[in-house]
Amino acid sequence: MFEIFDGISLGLGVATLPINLAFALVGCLLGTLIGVLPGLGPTATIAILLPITYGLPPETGLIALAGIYYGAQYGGSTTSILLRLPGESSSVVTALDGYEMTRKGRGGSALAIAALGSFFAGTVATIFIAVSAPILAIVVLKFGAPEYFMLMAVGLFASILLARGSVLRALIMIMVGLLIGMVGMDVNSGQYRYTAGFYELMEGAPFVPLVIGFFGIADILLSLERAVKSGEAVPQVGKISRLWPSREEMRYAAPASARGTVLGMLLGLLPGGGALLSSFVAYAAERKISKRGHLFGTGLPEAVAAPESANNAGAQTSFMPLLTLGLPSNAIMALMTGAMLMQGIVPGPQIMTNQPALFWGLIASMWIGNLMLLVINLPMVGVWVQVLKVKYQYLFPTIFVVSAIGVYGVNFTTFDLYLMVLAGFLGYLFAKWRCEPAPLILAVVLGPMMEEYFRRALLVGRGDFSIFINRPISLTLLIILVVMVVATAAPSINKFRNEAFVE
Amino acid sequence: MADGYTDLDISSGETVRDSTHIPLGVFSILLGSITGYIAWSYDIGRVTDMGAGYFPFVISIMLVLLGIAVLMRGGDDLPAAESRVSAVSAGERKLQLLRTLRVLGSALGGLVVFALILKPAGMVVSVIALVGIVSFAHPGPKFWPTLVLAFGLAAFSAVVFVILLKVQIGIWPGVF
Repeated sequence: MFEIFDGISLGLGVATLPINLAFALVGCLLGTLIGVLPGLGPTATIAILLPITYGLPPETGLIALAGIYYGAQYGGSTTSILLRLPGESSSVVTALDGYEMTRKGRGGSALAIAALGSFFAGTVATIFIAVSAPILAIVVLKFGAPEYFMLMAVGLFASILLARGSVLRALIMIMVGLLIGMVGMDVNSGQYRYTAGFYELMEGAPFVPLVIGFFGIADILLSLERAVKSGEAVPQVGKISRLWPSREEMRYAAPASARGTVLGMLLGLLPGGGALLSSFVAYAAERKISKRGHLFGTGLPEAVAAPESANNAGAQTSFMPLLTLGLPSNAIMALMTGAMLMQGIVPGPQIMTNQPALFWGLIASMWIGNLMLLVINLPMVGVWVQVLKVKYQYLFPTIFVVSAIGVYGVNFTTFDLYLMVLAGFLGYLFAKWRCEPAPLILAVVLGPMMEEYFRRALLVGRGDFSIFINRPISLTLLIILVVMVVATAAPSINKFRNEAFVE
Repeated sequence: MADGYTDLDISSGETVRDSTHIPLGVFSILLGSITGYIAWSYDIGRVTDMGAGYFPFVISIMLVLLGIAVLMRGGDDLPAAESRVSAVSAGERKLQLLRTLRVLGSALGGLVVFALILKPAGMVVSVIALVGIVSFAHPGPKFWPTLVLAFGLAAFSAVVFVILLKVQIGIWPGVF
């Protein structure tokens, strides 16, 4: 227990260093700014801003990225509530009741409920991570190669089970991602694979051009295709009432916020979980247990509090599998993994012992980030609404310029720019073919590790596949994997998957 | 909508089956065959001592099988709500194709031009070219604001990226 207190005080020391505080603030502001703008979600935002953190010290870089993530999360809810324009998908459900509250003149109250709920959820989730991550990290140290391989296979498969869309197509994305992960030198034999003679690919396909292409460029191409000339409509914001919620509203919102926090924390831990799933499930659950569930959608405070608390808690706890297992559970965590690998840090249980400053600094900065969001957001609502007036036709060239220079700036080679164009085009095609890019990028990150563990496991087992069955933890994971594969064929699961995202 | 674009309204009420499984399936089979063929030329090794080709070969085979599976399912792997799309007439399809070509051509083309001229032409010229070309991907931009944007971004990039963040590239054409 004392270790945890030591850790937290170390972490607070790291997180409150002026440079880290400054970059946490910059991250939160940039994240909120882009989160407010429609069309770019948190994943694309982090991808585009990834190169900027490359030159920073590891702690500072990760703290800034985490700040961008929370900021993007949060910015989306502000526009959902005031204008019914969810900047990104995890705040879609917030728009339902949040905007109705605005129409009834309770917009200020809805904003305050969302902010306080998020802050509460962030605080609880941060404490939860600080207490349980060290314990989990110790358990995980007992894992050998077969367990790690199975864990990653389970993680990859579960991530598509909990995402939306076709399982078959997600599996195709995983295979393509694994193949991209194979590019470069094979560590065991020194053989170069799939480099097509390009020396730029010898150390593996560079990560930044890939993610900016697959998320940033592809997203913009899709938006551009839908773009048409439109009138000069400037969003009108209704009068924002006084910010403080009434006692009546608090009576409904507070317990909903607590329930949303618990749900979000648990769902955030699941592979493929995180903010999006958390907010949808929390809204649905709250409507089911509420005595006035039939009134949802007419502007109820609890319908804002539950999903907002849940998505923040989920965003927070989705860091757990990465920090303790080295297993990124969704696309955003895959980007975090990429950022760590670029800094020469291999994510996993050893981070806590080898890099305590990084580990605890990141955890402490989560809480500080949440506090910052509370402080900077409510007073700055007016500024964020102004941001919405920026027209897309002038926004996207700006994003192109920042992305292109960012990609070039990592290795100073134009090869990376061509790779980004190729990845952007492929990402566009995959989206047209109804494939989600998230499993692909997870597989790119996990591919080399999975191959390594697979080969090592069979080396230890002398080529006998029973090594995966003879070890209890590995066997358990294998059974989970088989159950999941069978479950995808079951109609009830498919029904759940379809309904979880309907609204 | 406030972001300056709205969805194309092409719904005539009629719907047809989504057919995206065909290009996806063909792509998967082709890619898997190529990567599998290349993997075969690496050392496959044995299960006890896997070579560089083992893992990629297995994955390539799985990709081909998944490609065949997606073709055989004929599109019913999609959630029911997404398995049908609005019917589009031949004329509308042609318009859509033109729009797609315009978006891909100017957006990706602008980036390729940027990559080609960046080193010889330097930051300022390249950024102006990039903004100028990609702006054709959207029907909205007007001439003067776009020009201001291009010069503004060029100045910003030169100051922030080249001078402050030390990105290794000249500001002006030639060696400076």
